[in-house]
Amino acid sequence: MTAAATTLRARWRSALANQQQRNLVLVWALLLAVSLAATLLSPYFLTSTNLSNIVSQSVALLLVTMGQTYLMLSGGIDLSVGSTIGLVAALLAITVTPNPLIITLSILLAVAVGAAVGVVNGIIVTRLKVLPFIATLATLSVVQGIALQLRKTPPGILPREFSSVFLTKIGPVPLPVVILVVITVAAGLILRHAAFGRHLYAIGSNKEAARLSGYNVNRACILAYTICGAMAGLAGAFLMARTRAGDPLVGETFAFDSITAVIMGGVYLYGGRGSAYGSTAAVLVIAVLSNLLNLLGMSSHIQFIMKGSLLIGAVMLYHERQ
Amino acid sequence: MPDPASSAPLLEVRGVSKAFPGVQALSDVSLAVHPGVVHAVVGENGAGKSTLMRVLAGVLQPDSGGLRWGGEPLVLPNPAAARDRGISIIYQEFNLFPDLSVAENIMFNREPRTGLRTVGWKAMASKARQLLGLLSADIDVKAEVRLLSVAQQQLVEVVKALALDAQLIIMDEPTAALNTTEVANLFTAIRHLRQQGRAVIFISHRLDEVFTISDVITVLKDGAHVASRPTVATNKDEVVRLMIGRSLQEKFPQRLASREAQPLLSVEDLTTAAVRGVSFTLNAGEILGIAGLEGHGQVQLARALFGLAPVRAGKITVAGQPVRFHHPVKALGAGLAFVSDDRKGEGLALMLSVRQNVALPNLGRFSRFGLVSSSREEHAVEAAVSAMGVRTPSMEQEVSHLSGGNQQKVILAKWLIGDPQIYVFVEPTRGIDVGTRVEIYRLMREFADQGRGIVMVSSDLPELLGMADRLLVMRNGQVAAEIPGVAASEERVMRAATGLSGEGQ
Repeated sequence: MTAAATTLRARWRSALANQQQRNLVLVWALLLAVSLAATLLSPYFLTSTNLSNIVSQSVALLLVTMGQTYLMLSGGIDLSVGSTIGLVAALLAITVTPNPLIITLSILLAVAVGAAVGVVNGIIVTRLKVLPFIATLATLSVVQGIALQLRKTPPGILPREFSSVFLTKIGPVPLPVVILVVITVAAGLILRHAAFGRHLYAIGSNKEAARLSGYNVNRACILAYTICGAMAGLAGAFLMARTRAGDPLVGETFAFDSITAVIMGGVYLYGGRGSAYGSTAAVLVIAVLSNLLNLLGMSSHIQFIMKGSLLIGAVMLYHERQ
Repeated sequence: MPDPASSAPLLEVRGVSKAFPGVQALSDVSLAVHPGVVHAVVGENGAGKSTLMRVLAGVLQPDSGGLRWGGEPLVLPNPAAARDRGISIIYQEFNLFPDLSVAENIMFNREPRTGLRTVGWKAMASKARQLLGLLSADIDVKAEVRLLSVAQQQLVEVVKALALDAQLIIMDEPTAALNTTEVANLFTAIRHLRQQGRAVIFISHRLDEVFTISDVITVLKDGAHVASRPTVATNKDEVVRLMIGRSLQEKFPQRLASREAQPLLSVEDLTTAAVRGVSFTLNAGEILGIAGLEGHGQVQLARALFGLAPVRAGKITVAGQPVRFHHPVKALGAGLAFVSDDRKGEGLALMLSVRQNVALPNLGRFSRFGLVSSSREEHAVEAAVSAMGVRTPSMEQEVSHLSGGNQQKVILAKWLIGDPQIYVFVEPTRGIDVGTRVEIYRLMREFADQGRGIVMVSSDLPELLGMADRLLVMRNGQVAAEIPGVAASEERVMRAATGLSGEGQ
């Protein structure tokens, strides 16, 4: 054995000793395993149409999951993301016309509305000192009510032009793939190298210590909720481009799915540990498994069972149990 | 040693008072802290040390009186203000980020940035290394803090203060969880700080350490300033007398004359993950002390007796019956009680009242047909609480508001009702002030005199020597020596604990 190989092995072993990196390796290995299984089980899985389909199906969840990742690393959680998506759907059904300027403005509106819900969540959690779980459970209901109130009857159908924005290609690469990579890498860099990202870990690790260090914990928390809300808003716009129906209940599964993905990706339940790359892999695992169930012609209800099992499995596997 | 009077004070506390609902925590406290001086603040629990410290940290604002810093009035509306002025505080419960690296902890919120506004990892690591070097601390700056030992974490806290260029560093019970070598290292670090002309406020229960490291000692009692003396001009007896208002001649209760050996508990070849082949017998009326350096299996031995640590092999006999407890409920039923060193985690439900805590394991006794009789509950609880001398305004007081010593007495009251015959104590007086300790010792001796047996694990050697009728010294999970209480000395125990002597082997 050469010296280089020995060093490499030692580094690999020390990397695996670190729980965070072990989780990361695990979730990517899981993605590889389910993809392999899918390839063996269905001849259609590995076609470029199917793969690009998987990615464009998972972009909305990826956006929400990434927002949730920032939040959960800092010890927060947002249950209202699904309602935010529904609100955006209802709004876009009203505002969007085939005019490109209006389309652009509507997408910005979606992001702004999501951010506004995030700011409200952040203020309720930090200023009114309501537990994140309860605060966002409450906004979930409030925002859903607003969305249902705004809904056009019958549900509005968005013009075809809105979809085409999201179906463009950059060179040979479909836009969803670009977005997936950009969002992941950006989140990875921010969480690893930006002071804001590091401070989110610090807050998740020991909030009181951050406060006593003279750090403005509330501001950082509000910002994390705002990012999460804005990502949910953008996810709503994405979802509309795919379904084109202004259904206010379209986001219902997103809170559960994004939290499952974040935990599967290796973020510690109470914050402080985890990474963006794990979340991306987890989103893809969910997408591939859902896709496989479709290809095998199984009922979509099975997906719910699968996702619930994944959540429990991830918690069992990763987290230090009592 | 610098003469405290020779320099202008760095910090003056002038007539500070602070009241909480029902408690005057500080009344008219004044003291002066000089640069280059280690200033010890001592007092019983509830004397006002931590309130004073929180005022200095900007966490609490005084009701009246004020602070001066270098002769100028000082107002500290929040922790950030204190930090900016150069006051750093190291709490007993560390304020570190366990999931972040040492360097990130030291440089938190003041991370060096690169041109792209990202964190400058290299600059951060080298700055952290340089600061650790100032205290001759050898710690990997890239290690995650949760993987460090308590002593290393403590040094990280001290270095954090240095990183802020703190002129005044306040340490609250910094040695509580350290072993002798680690204490020595910390003291070296404190001497470094003193040489650099920084002031240190050192809060401790351990008078030996106070006399080793401090230049000035201030005594607080019941929220008031009692005295400040240069350390060389006073002695332990005087300080204790000032702290508790009386002298502590009879700290440990008298041992009863030996009685006939009547075994209550016997253990044969007990083996767990950390204990290897331990055998002993506990007799009625006896206090059996378990000594040893921290981490040599004493705590796990105690926990295994109560079914809290899995037993791999060996035999436990209680009152002649062989037993094996898989769950603490079984141990309780067999007449054992366990008093944990982790009062907050294992001993008490902090948010519940005294009554609820004492009643909790005894509800079955007060119930008929599944309904709790509240009159029987109240009677029993009140009797137990008064027997243990718990000082509480009422039975409905939330336990979290009581002092550590009174919390410990609540735990004793809670077990008393079931009338256990065997008590297992782990660190019965950790974090408890001198006055209350004496009461706990008296209660323990009373239990023994009434014919109960007590197993007592403690890292406080003088306490073991004062209390135990017989001592087992553990080393590497085994019994290294068995010493009768009357023949035990600190030296003999330490020799066995460190493996210096062939005692018992």
